[in-house]
This record gives sequence, structure tokens and C-alpha cells, in this order.
Amino acid sequence: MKNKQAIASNTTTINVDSDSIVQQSTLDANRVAMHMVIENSLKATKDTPITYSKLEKIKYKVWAKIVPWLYISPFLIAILVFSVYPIFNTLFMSFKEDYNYINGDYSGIGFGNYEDLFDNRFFIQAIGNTLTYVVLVVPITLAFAILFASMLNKQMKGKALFQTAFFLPLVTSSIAIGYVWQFIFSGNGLINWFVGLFGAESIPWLTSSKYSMFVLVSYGVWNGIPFATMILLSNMQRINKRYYTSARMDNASSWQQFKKITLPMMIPTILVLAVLNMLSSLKVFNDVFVLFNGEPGPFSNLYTLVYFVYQNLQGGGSRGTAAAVAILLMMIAFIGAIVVFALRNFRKINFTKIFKRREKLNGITSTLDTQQQ
Amino acid sequence: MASQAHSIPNSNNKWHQVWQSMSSAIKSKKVWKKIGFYVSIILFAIVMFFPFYWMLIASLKSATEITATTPSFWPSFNFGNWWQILTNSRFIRYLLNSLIVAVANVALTTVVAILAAFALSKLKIKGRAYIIAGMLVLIAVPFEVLVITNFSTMVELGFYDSLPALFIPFAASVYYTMILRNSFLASSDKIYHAARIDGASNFRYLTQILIPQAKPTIISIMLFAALASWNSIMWPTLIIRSDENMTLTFLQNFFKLEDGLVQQEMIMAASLISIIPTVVLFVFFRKYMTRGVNMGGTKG
Repeated sequence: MKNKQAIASNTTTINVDSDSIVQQSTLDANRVAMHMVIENSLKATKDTPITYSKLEKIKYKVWAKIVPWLYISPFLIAILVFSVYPIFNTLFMSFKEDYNYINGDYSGIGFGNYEDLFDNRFFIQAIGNTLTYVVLVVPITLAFAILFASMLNKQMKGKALFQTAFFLPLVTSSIAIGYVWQFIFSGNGLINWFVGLFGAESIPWLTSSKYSMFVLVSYGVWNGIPFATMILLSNMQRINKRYYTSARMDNASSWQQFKKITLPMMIPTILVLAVLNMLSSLKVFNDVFVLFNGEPGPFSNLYTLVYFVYQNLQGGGSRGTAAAVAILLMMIAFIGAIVVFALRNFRKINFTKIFKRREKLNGITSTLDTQQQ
Repeated sequence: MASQAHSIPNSNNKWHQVWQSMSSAIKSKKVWKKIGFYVSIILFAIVMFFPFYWMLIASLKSATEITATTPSFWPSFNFGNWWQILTNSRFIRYLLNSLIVAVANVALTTVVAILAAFALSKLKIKGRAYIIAGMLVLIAVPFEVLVITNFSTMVELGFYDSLPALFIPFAASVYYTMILRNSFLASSDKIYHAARIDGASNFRYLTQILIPQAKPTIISIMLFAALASWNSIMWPTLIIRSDENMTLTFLQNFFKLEDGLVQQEMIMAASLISIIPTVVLFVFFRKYMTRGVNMGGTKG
């Protein structure tokens, strides 16, 4: 350390261990210092260790303790400001009744905001819409995802092409695709042209309250399929091929292989995916915004929970109700996250044992019986 | 086959043997199964891919073709729409804003996540376990809860209606940090200790040893951050007001959609241009995306 400092600064004095102090010009000093450093470090390994003064030791210890906090400080600051503080702020805001955002007045502390919510017709509608959406989207998405993943798992020509086609909606969930769907489902769009080919009259997909939910659900399914297929496919590819080989040797048809090998091993993944899809479907807002140009559906019939938050954040809405809805959402999300974590440990249950036992009870014999194709 | 060859005249003819094999194949179930499989997967792929194809086709049509009663599925190579959109200075400004915000978002998020993940995996921090436990709790919090307060925070900080407001709140992502931390933990501590003994500073170890090792994970994280920034809808519509700061989320500003007076082909051209960057990213980095999704932790 000492010698480094000597080289770094242009001092004219050089301290060399126990030797005499030499005074030279700076250029010579640097050259000599370099030689001294090399000699000193060579000496240091054997006879004289490099020593640091007490002050240097303390400085280094302090520095070593500070460094990890320096690395983590931008992250911690951002988390505290933009994640932790908002949670508590929203929580408190949801309990301030008649919260006036401009000057921070509120009339009382209580569950008033929550009570007002359940008196609001649009909120009840939002709950109903969101639940309908979730109940429809999640099973359909997963069914298609299982189908597509098992199809993509086989050996075929042009695999990369098919994968691109199936996974492309993953990256484009934005306004652009929403416009395409609007035009396909519009009054004189493609779907109605297709329907017209069969002689029926055109259906008002986006402008009637009866059919708009169908468009929303299909959009949600189309957006949810790529991610689920991706996860399922990567997990299917990790199943040991020997199971399939031995099943083929036992004359199992491909449907039996799917039912007895693929499906049981995919059940944990399917469950986790179901909960994840359910959680993200509960937050449905983008789909409604994108399909109906920012309106909550025709005749305002497609309110969803998050749309409620969004609308109350615009001018003229009340922050308190928005906060209350947000807190409700957060509680649902927490419950869902706990379920996901519990499911991850669920997979330690031996599913093959359960299915074998069920087979025995039902009197199904094993696949070892010879079957003619 | 040998016995059949002797009993049928002209059976040494190559074509007769081909006919034999073809007819026996058609009788068997295998060929039908294969045909059925390819037909069905092609149909499904068409359904999933169709919106993109239609976007391409429609953006190339002229105004008269798009309102024709029977739509044509063949591209008509009318590039005038694209030219008109690309020379619209307002659209270019929106596009540039989106690009700037995406790049800034990726840079900021990645840097913050790498530094934090390094500190949480290799360095000694006293409250490390508590910090990680807190982060695991924060993963479950949806963004809609934070929007309300973040809006007020950004207004108070003076960032209302500005471009930095679009990427500053997303600087710290617990999800990316946890993924990076797992990937950093996978590289052994021995190399870290050896490097430190040899006199490397923490920063040098991070930049010259750890980051190159974790490059695939880092690339997939950058991709996810870029996509999330490009496709975000709720936050920009809340916080951006003036025209010069708007991003491509506000495509509807170009086309006032009234009933019947809709320039469909223009909207399709603008939509196509606005998703081209994400499609390009996807095509080139598909591998990294699947890997990143795996490390996201939904292991079966």
C-alpha cells in the first residue's frame, strides 16, 4: 500500500523499509520506486511481511463493511420508495373515508370505502365480470396449452416454424394486436364474413353486451396459450424417454401413453400454471382497454376490478375507493401466492401410487395385456 | 413381396411396386394418423398466427380493397400506407419515445438487479435473510396496488408527464433480482475467494468473472424488461399527458375511431410498425426466452 501511494503521487521522498531515505527527481523516483516495489514484494513473502498501520486497518474494515450496502442501495431505495411505501400508503388510504386527494382531508377512519364499494352497482358488475372471465379463461387456456404442448413435443418437420407461430402472441400483447382483433370482429369484419358464408346474418361482436364477453374471453385465451404452452413443453421434454420406450414395448397406444405417462407427470405443472393464470386473469385490464378503445365494453358492461381502479384514478374519481379495490386485489393475490407455494410442495406426493391404486379399485388390468392395433 | 412378385405379371415394374406400397400404406392407420396430425397442427398454428398475418395483409391494402365485401387473403404489395405512417413526424416521435424508454428501462433495471443480486449472493450483509424474505413477500404484490401511490410520488417528485416517469418506478424488480441471484449462487464461491485473494476488487470480479458466466440469464432478463416496457398500457396512459412525451401506447391518437370513418389500412400499418421491434427481438432471442421462463421457477 505504501509503495503504491509513492508511485501514485509525485512525491520526491521514498520510504524504503529499513533502508535510507533517498531524495531524487520525480522521474527517477518513479523508476526507482518500481524497482523497490518489486523487491519489496519479493522480500515480503519470505522475511518481511507487508504491514499496514492501524489507521489503514480500520479504514479497510469500515470500507469492507460499507461495500455490500453500496451495491444493494439503489435496489433497496427503489424498492422502499416504489414498492414498500405504496403498499402501506394504499392500505391507509383505503381506510380514509371521503379522501380528498387535493388537500388530504378525510372525514373519518373506517370501512366506509369498502361499504360504498359493495353498494356500487358497477363494482358488483365488475366482480361478476372478472369472475366470469377467470372461470372461462383458465380452463380453456390450459386445455389448449396441454394439447399444443403435446403436439409440439413430437418429432416433426418445421418445428421451429410451428414454435414461432404458437409463441408469437407472447411478445405482442399490446394495443396493436387489439386493433387487429377489433377489425376481425367488427360488424363487417372477417368473422362476420365467415358467418355470412353460411347464410347467417352478421353478429354484433363488439357492440352488444351479449357477445362482447365472448370476444374478451377468446382474446384472453389467445394471449394466455403461448406462455402455458411454453412451460408445459419444456417440462414435457424433461420426462425421461425410457418411460415411453418401455410403454411402446408393452404395446401401449399413444393415447394410453399420454394418459398414463405424460398427464400424471404434468399435473403439478398444470396446477401451478392454473393458479398463475388465474392470478393474472384476475388483473384483467389490458384486454378490455385494448379491445374497446379504453371504454369498459359496450354500454359499460365489461367493467373489471382493475378497470375500476383505473377509472377512479382519472380526474374526478375518488382515490379512497380505488385504494380499497386495490387492497382487495392484493389480498386475493396473496392468497393465490400462498396457494402456489403450497402447490410446489404438493408435487412431492407420489401421484403414480394414487393412480395405480385407483386402477386396482376399478378392475383395470395393466397395459401388459397384448393388444392388437 | 417376393412371392407376390412371381405370381403377378409385370410385377418387376418399379411403378407397380410403388403402387403396392402406397396402397398398403393407405390401408394402414399410420399414414392417416400422420396426415391428421399435420393437418390439425397446421390449423391450430393458423388460428394462433392469423392476427399477425391479417395485420400484414391489411396494412398492404389500399383504401378501396379494405372495404371490399369479400376480403382477399393474398398480399397486394401496396406500400404506400407504410410510407405514409413512417413519414408522419408525430408517429416517429412516438416511436422514438417508446425506444428511448425501453432502452433506459432495460439499462436501469438490469444494472440495479445485477448489483443487488451480486450483493445478496456473494457479499456478507447482516440482514440478508430478512431482506430476501421481504422480497419474496413483495413478489406477490400486483402492480395495481402500487399504481395509486406511485402516481402521487412521481407527481411530487416533479416527474409528472415526462419520459423518466415511465422507467424510474420500474428500476427495482424483485423478480429479476431473484432470478439473477439464483444464477449467481450457482457459480461457486471458491472462484470468488480465489479472485479476491489475487487482489481483484469486488467490482472487477463482478464485471469480469460473474457477468460473463451468467450472460444467458442476463440476456433473458433484458428481453423481459424490454418487452414489459414496450407493451405497458396502464402506467403510460395515467402519467403522460402532453403529446411530445407519448409513446406507442397512444396509437389511438392518430386515428379517431368514429363509426364508419375508420382508416383500417392505416391503423394496421401503424400497428405493424409498432410490433416489429418486439417480433424481431422474439425471433432472434427465442432460446433465451424459454430459458428465462424456466428459471422463473414454475418447475413441474
